[in-house]
Amino acid sequence: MTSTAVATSTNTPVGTGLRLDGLHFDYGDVPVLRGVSLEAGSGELVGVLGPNGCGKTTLFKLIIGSLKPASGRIDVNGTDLSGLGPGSRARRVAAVPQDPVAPVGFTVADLVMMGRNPHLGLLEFEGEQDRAIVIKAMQSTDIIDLAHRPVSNLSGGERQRVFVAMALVQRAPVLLLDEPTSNLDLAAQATVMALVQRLCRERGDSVLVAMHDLTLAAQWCDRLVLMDEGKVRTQGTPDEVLTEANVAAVYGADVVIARHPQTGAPVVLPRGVEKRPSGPCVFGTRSDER
Amino acid sequence: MAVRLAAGAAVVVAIAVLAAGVGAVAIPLDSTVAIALDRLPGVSMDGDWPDSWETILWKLRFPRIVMAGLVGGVLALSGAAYQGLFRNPLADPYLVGVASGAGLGAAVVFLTGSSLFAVGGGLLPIAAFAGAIAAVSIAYLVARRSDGLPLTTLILAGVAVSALAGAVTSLLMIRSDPSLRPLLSWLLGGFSGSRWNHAWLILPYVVPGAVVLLAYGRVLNVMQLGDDHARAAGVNVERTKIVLLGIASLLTAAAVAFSGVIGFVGLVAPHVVRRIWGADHRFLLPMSALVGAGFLILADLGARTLASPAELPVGIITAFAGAPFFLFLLTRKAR
Repeated sequence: MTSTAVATSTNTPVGTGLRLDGLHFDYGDVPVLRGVSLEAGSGELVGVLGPNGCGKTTLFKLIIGSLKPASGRIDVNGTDLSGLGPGSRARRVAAVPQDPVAPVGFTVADLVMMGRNPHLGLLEFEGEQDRAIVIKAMQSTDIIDLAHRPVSNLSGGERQRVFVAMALVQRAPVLLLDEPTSNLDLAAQATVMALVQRLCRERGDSVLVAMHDLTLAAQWCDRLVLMDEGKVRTQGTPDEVLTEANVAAVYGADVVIARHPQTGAPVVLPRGVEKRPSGPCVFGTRSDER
Repeated sequence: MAVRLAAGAAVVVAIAVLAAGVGAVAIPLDSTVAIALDRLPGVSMDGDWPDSWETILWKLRFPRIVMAGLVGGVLALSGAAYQGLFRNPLADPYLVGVASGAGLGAAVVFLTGSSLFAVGGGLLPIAAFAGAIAAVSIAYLVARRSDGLPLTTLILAGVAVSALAGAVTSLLMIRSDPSLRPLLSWLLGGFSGSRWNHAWLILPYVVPGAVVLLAYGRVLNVMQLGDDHARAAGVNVERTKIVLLGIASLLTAAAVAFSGVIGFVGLVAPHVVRRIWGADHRFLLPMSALVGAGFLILADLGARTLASPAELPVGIITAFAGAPFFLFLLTRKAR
């Protein structure tokens, strides 16, 4: 396997992966997160769901250190992240933000190599080892043939795989993906999610994926966390979380839960077509998700 | 990469040597090289050149060429750093107020203290430097937030500070009468007064500053992903912004203090490099410095020869050569 070598040489200690404990955050007077606690164990793929404004992106910004929590703890394998500088934090948590920028003038290989930044000193150039890590990451994300193409000329699905590869070479035990499938077509969505699931299994990373598409999340994630108004409403297996009552309570959407004919995973469908319920983010009205 | 940079450096040296021979008194290439090498410690060249050639080269042309090369290199390096930092290809080293601050500082010296000015050329660069640093500092302090430095706010603050300093400069110029002309020619920039001690005065800024900027090449690459993504990839975003802004502004202020406000070098040189060789800042920064140095040495050659015996402000030459080129780049972008 191409990525077993990647997995064995990481310095990941045996531990519990990512653990968030009682995170609070406010933008001025507006409370955004009100006591969020969740865990993502090693090798576990956890989907974070919730309507726009529920605090998903803020939560990710707290974990990567763009924002500081008012209170609460973020642990990776038992280490509190709050005392760490940007470099050592990035060696523990890698992230692909929502709609990442593809800078003009860089090739795919250049961009993936940027993920080695937290492992290099200010005046240090990347060496053979870094190049080998980058090549392996491009192989396991199936972008090796694109290595010399400009990043700005890729399709959405290819670009997303490039950013995943860049996050992989950080060799962090925790990987965050903020809506990695938004703006992707049906095939590219499945490719990216299958890739993320495989990497999560093979490398034993803790992966947190923010998603809007409940059905897609249910197909791929081990566990789901449903957030609402800055709190975790419920978490558990897709079957436990995606109930008609939960979706109605959080999204204000009237849905029926069906079963995937092959996997049995829950499939969320709007009930009937006669009427559109109102609400801040009604499931199924965002045209870019389908 | 190292080979290209070495080739670029060789081209700059060749331009400098060739430019030294051109002027009211033409000096052949072999004599120029011999006169240059003769002064090196442990080197003695034979040759029979008139003493006047030696004086012309060592007292006038060499310091001028060295200053033009240093200032061109510094402006282009700072321009490349600004463009990378602001993620905006239209940024130039004067974006956040260095030029107008220096102009105001110079205007105060020219127009209020002609007696002070007479004390020595020393006061003008100090005032220009102080004005430049003051303008950038004000823009920075206005834009700064408790949780970081929003770059858009910084640009807007810089524009406002520039407008204010420019207005005060205009007011001073209108209220005073004939002493306006030297200020105008200073604002357009030039190297006619360049001396060796100017080079010695700016080198303590240029050398360490350039080393720091060059060291940030890889980090600037990662910064192109945006603040959040760069932070996720381990960049200390806020410290990077402050270091790059501070050093690039300091370097630009040091250059402007002795040469005046020379436009288009800092804007165009990084563009040329990016078009030809790509956007990797580890290469873009040093190569921009070389292109800027070569370009400004040539522009200064034009400034002292095109209208000889009169002297043209070098800023006019760089604008004449740089502005049409930049317009050409813009038409290509529009497609």
